[in-house]
Amino acid sequence: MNTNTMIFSPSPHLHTGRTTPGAMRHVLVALIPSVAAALYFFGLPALEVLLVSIAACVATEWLITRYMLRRPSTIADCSAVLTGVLLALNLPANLPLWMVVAGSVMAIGIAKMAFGGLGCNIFNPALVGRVFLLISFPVAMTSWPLPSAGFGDADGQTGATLLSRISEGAVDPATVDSLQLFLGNIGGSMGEVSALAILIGFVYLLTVRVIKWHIPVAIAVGLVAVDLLAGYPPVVDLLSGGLLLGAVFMATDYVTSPMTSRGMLLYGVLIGIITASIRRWGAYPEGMSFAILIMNGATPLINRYIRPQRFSPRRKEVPA
Amino acid sequence: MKHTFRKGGIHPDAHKTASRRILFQPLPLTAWLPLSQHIGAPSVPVVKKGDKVVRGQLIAENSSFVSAGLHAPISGTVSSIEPVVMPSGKPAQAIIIKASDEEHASDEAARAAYWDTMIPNVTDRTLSESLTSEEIVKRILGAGIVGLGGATFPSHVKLSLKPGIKAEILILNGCECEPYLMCDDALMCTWPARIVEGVELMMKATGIPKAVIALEDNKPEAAKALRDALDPAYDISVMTLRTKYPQGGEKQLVEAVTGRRIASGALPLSVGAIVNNVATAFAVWQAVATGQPLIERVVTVTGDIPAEQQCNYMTAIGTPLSELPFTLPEECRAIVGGPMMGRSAVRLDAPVMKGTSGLTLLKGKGRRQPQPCVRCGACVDACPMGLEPYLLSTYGRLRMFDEARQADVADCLECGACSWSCPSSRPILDYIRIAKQRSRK
Repeated sequence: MNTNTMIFSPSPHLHTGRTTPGAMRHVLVALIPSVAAALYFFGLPALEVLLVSIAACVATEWLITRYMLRRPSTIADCSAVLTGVLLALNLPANLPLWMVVAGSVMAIGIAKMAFGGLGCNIFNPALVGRVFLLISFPVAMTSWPLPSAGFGDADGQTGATLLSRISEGAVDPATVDSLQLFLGNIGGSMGEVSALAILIGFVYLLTVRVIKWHIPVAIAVGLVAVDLLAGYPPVVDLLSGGLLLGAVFMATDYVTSPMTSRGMLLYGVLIGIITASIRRWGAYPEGMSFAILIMNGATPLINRYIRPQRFSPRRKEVPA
Repeated sequence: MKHTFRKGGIHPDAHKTASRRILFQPLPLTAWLPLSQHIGAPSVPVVKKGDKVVRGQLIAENSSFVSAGLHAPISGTVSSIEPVVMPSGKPAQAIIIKASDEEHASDEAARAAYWDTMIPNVTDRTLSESLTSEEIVKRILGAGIVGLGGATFPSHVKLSLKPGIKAEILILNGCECEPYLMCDDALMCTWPARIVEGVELMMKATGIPKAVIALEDNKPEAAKALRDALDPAYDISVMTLRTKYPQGGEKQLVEAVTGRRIASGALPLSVGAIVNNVATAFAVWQAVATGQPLIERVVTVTGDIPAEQQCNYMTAIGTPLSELPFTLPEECRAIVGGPMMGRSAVRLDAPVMKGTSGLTLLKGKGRRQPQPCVRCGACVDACPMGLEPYLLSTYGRLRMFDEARQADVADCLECGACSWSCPSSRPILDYIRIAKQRSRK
């Protein structure tokens, strides 16, 4: 009996086989419809923004691990690629590419790596990148190319999003064509325009069990609740702006969202309420990014106070 | 909708590929018998070096109430009483018996005759009626029976209810929720009537009017065999539960069957239940009806070995694991028990003990390189006790044992669902074990 080949290890000796890079890849797959919709509606500029964003995010992470931290590279875990895609989908397709690079460096360099890398960041990196750009370059970040489906009609038209036009009083939300909103034939960030594409991704993520339903559904509930109180059409609110993209892909980010199902529900409802409140009564026409970032900050607190319900009732007198 | 426990749980691949047959592993020529094969005080030898012993003879007696006796699984001579190596590599005091060829041959003949009488499934229902409760418990005590599901708690203790304490339900654990293992399944399929009679004896011993044999819905053959063996004179039912790990955990099983949750640190008796393994019921029947003490048990040999080697063996306690018929894969983990809660062995010359349900041989190192925690919450969702494994694990790693205690680390049953489900392959349970041990008051 040769005992040299026996390996000692503590239990459990089996593993689910799921991996974190695997989860990241599932999210990337789930984003394919949204990316396709962005390319369809916005054409070549969208592809440029997407590729530059991915390249800049991955390069930033690689440079920081290689030359500042002097650690093995972590780009193989796919999380930088995912941040790149998500950031691009949160930008207008005609944003100058150097701004895309600046946003990527902010997202990976400051929001993620400065906090300690994957798993240690408090705020969603892609959203930090987006908000950084929004505050620094408000004009470039809020002039959106109008969708020109089919790559042909690239006449360089730009305009405000539906939400800002409603906010300015130029459009009555009650007259908005919900079907066009649902399909994505509207102005907006690359990834947020097509609700249909996002919902396909949502169904995929639920099917492969990478995310749970709690956060996106709770966000919708919170938003609709405020809309009903404010007398605003909830369907238009749900389908417009970054709400769906944020609810499905940004707010569900593992690292920056709560650990328990009940915590997720609270987190989601509050994101919905904050978003609707900013949209109705705030200075910005769009509030999703801020709402998610605010609740990212509240997540450690939620984890501390919303504990899972224990199996056992607390210790009682034991009859022996 | 079938019942199961409500909180957490996981669905690892079952890998229940071993045969349901029970083959007879030849008796060893040398048996190694550690004095501590159960929870409680080690037993005390009543034989000394050079003594002749016969198969079934008491060789060590229980030293206190929570303890169990030990019997000779083979006839032979006590060659020494000295520390021997356990599967973990640690030494433990043990009695070593060596048999001559003649003794071995006559033992094998007697053993074959004994099991031949067991094969016909003719039931003798008069048995449990003719014995008093005290007599049944006395025979269980005298046979050195312990819980055969793995916890090895002395059975006579569990079945001796203090005066005034009433239990309402006797639950027989046939879940075998561990992947790979099939020893209980095989036993239920092979001798269902004997198990049912063992249950009847346990009911008589404890005065509990109602019993439920609980198994998972991945064992339809065993469920049918048991149902066919039931006697309408007794309130025994077979309950099929929705398969989920760790259903065989005592608290999970009591909840799945009765809907009641046992308080932290309390016993099943606090909600009126007593839980025993089906293999224990079989051992009780053997002891009470045939007089054979616990000297052999069913061991599953399974894992990444050829299909024809994956089988169950009726094995004498004290048989070295290496005598079981298997070819050790290159670079493997040899796990005593199932792959979720079993311990990996460093030595295969260690013996089969009362709690040894199987030997699972798994290829490869098993563990991946841990990645950073991404706070996905998979461990929280998996934990059947409603704990926060990620947090307890961090407390263990940072030696924050007071905080771990306040976060109810003592509730952890070490089922490993957290480590299993972690996509970052973090050794969650390893650190929780440290926190659990060090935070104990």
